[in-house]
Amino acid sequence: MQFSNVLMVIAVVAVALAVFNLGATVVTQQKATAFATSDIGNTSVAVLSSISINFTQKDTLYWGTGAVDTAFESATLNSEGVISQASATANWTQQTSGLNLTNDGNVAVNLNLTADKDAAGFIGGTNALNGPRFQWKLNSATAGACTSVGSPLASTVYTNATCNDAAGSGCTLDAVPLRACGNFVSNGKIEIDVQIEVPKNTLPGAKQSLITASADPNVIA
Amino acid sequence: MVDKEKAVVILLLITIILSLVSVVMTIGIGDKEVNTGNNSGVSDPDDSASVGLTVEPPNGTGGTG
Repeated sequence: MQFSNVLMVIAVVAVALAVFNLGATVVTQQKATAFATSDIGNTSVAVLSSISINFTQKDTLYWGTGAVDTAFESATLNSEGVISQASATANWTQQTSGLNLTNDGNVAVNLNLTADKDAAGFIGGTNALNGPRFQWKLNSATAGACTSVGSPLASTVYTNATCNDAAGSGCTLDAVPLRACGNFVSNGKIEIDVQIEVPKNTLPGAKQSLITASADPNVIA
Repeated sequence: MVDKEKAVVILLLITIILSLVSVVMTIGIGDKEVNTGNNSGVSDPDDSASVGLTVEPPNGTGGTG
């Protein structure tokens, strides 16, 4: 046999082997993608902590327009449906739910609340006994939303939104936000009810205050 | 170059190409690498709500209380 013939045979065999190899690879790959030979897999995911709170369902409390009944020294309004000692013909609009704050981050946080005005700055007017007052009350709207309520907020009584809202006296706004909840859990929801007392001698006009909620990491959680 | 030598060269070229394709496909069978994602730890640590009303002069028509 001539050398060129031997070379030809070798080349043909090489091509045949390459074709077989390619075919085997294709078949193996199809099996690998279509049929797993093992039901065990490993997945590793790292999730970073995210701190986020939002007034999701209700971020505004507005009682509309009204007046104090002259037969009384002040009128009281809160977000639990109370409007008392207001004029029958110029009455504010009833509010039956407070502000809703949600922890939509993935970790528990410390919750702090601040108001940009004290009662005198927000409502104005003076009354020897009753006000003005600007108060709030914290409740868990979902079970266990706040497992550690901090001072000065409590779940059953209204407390002053700022340091001192005693009748007729001045009040310096708080320099440090008030700790509202020491353990505001992820996906928890808190309702912040607000109560205000409007003295009869409050100057007429629009009154507004901004409540800011802020969160910082809860190292215990 | 005689015809037989040409044929051998062509066959060897085909062999090389098929082998390369096979190598590429074999590499493709290996563990798929999942693109790594990054949870950027989005933070929105504060939010504000508004409280307000409008006050008119006292009205003596008799009210709730």
